[in-house]
This record gives sequence, C-alpha cells and structure tokens, in this order.
Amino acid sequence: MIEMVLCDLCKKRKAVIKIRYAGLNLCKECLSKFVEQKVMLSLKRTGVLGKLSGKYLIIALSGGKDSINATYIMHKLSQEYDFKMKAVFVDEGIGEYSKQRRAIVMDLCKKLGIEYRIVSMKEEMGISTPEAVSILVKSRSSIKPCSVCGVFRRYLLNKVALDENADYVVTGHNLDDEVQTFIMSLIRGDIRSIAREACSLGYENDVPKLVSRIKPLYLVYERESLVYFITHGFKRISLSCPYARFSMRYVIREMINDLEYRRPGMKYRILALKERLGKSIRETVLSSVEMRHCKICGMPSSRDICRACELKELLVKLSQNYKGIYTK
Amino acid sequence: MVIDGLKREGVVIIKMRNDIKKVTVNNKTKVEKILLKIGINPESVIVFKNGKLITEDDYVENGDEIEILPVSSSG
Repeated sequence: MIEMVLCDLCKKRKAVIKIRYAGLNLCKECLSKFVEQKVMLSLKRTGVLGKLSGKYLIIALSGGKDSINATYIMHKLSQEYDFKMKAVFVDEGIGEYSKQRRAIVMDLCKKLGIEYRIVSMKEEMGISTPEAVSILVKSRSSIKPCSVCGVFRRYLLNKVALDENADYVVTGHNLDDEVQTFIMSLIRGDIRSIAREACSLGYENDVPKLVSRIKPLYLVYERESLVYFITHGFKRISLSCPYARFSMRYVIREMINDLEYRRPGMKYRILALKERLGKSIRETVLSSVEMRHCKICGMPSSRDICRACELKELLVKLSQNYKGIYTK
Repeated sequence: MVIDGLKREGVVIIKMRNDIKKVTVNNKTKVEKILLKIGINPESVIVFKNGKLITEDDYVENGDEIEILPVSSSG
C-alpha cells in the first residue's frame, strides 16, 4: 500500500493540491481557508471590504467554476459584512452550452437563496453569439467570436447594474485571467488597456454610468479555483464553449503555464509587473483619453460610439451581404 | 506485473477526456513523472486516482486508474 501525501499545514488530512510556488501540499479544508484568505486580501487591498456595508452588488454568474466560487464566497461574506447581492446570467444563446449553464445558475441561486436575473443577448443586443459568429465567418472577418461575445457581455452587465442601481459588479476573474489579459495587451501593443487594467483589482472609478468592479478571485490561481470548486461539491457542465479555441488566450495560457512550471510563482511576478507598469503609465496614457458617452446608447466610452454599438453596426453591415440575418 | 530482479513494473490506466491509454511504469511512480512522460504539464491539470483527488507528489502503482482533468475546460 502506497502512503498518501498529507497536508503540510494540518499534517492530518490527505492533500488534494500541490501549491508549487509556496512549496505546500494542501488538504481540502486548508485549501479552502487559503483561497478565502486570498479573497479577503484582495478586498482589503483595494479598500472595498470596509465599504461593503449596506451596498448592493450585482454578481456576474456564468455557471463556470470561477463565477460559482465568487458567488459562493461573496454570499458567505454578505451576512458578516451586511451587503445584498443579485446574480446576473447573460444568456449568449450558444445552444446546449448556454442551456446547461443557465440550469446550473438557477439551481445554485435557489440553493443559496440568492435572487437572480437572466438577460438574453438576443433580446438585448438583437443578436446571439452563434448568429454573430456566423456573420463573422461568412464575411471572413478577422474579429474573433470572444471579441464580440466579451464586449456584449461586459456591456450588458454594466447596463443591468445601472438598471438595478447597483454599487458594484462582481466578476469571477482569477489570477490566470488577469495575467493572460496583460500578456495579450503586451503582444497587441495595447498600452491603453494596460493603463486601464492597472487597478482592475476593483478600483473605484469616477466615470458616470460605469459601475465599479470587484474581482474577489484576483489573487487565486485558476488551478486553486478548480480544486476549491470540486472539493465543495459544485456541479460542473461537461460542455466547453465551442468558440473558445479561436481565442489567442489558449496559446498564451499554455505558454504561461509552461513558465509557471519551470519557475513557480511566475504568474504572481507577472501580475506584480502588470500592476507596477500600469500604475506608472496610467496618468500619462489616460490623461489624453477623455471619457464621454456613446452617441447611440449613452453608455460610457472613450470614443464617440462605444465598442458594443460599433460591433452591432458592423454586424448589420456585414449581414446585409447575406440577406440580412441581423437587421436591428 | 513483470518482476525483473528488483525492478517491478506495473500498468497504470490513464483517462483524459474521452481518451484512455495504458502506460507501463516502474511500480510506485510519482504522478508528476507520469504526467511529464506523456507530455502533460502538471501545472495545467489536476489528477484523480481511483476517483479521488491527489497531488503530483502522490505515487501510483500497478492497476491504479488515474483521470487527468485540464484546469481550463476550454483548453
């Protein structure tokens, strides 16, 4: 009989994860504390924790592991820190994938006793993700599915948060997401994005109509998030998003995981660089960008027309060549 | 199981998504070593042994069934 690896902290229970950068094998209970301490640290670092009392939070719940973890942890904190929350599920209309996720979201909210709201992309934006992808593919556009779906989802979350009069929007972005986004911005040479994301750990913004974001899992590795999710017995869906493979993120993720294995803690170091670099260029880069409001929808934008409206117009234009699938 | 002097070999069944393969390993082999042997970065997956979550520092032996789950479902 082979001996099991025990937890390095409690020295009693069976380890379920190796945290390479900390040189620790952790059991499910110790991992749970470890992840929740990181969430508290993220909330304290930005000063959000002290301001939560009496606030109303919208939580972006997609039915994936990260947003479920974020919902579960924030729900636990909601009693102690006295705030209210409502989950929002954006239905992209991606067939069985969206259906299964919607069922998981409804099930979780009922179990936890959280109110939820389902927002249909088709109804709100006039087009579903698969319809948009079909137009992009037929017209051989270089725009990737995630660029449309992501912009529309962010747009809708902000719109719902405004409609609900919410103080914050909570998202399930983890440390890996943040690091990948930073590297993607570097590759694109997108200095504005680096400056904007500098304080994406939930900074308060003073842009009218742009609801501040909170990212509780900002310091949590994706791998830790998955093990937390599984050991808490949450339901997983078997399907992956059919369009994810078109994203550049896939390549970047593999590359960063490779670096992390060779040099444990690399992701933390990249995150620290992202913050330092972003903060030092923030003033210079963003002072020249005047925030205004979209001439079409009135939402905040750095340009005359926001990216969501721009994409909508582009899709209409492209679809006209294909007997106008999308005419709104 | 082949007993060759002091060296004992065993077969471990590996499940990954819909793919099932059998890998011959020295008995009592570290999970990390098996992952590297089949070209998988231990940092991008989690591993179950006979249905239970284990770490890459754990060992497997003849007849064990391990399931490898990618950390990112979309990857």
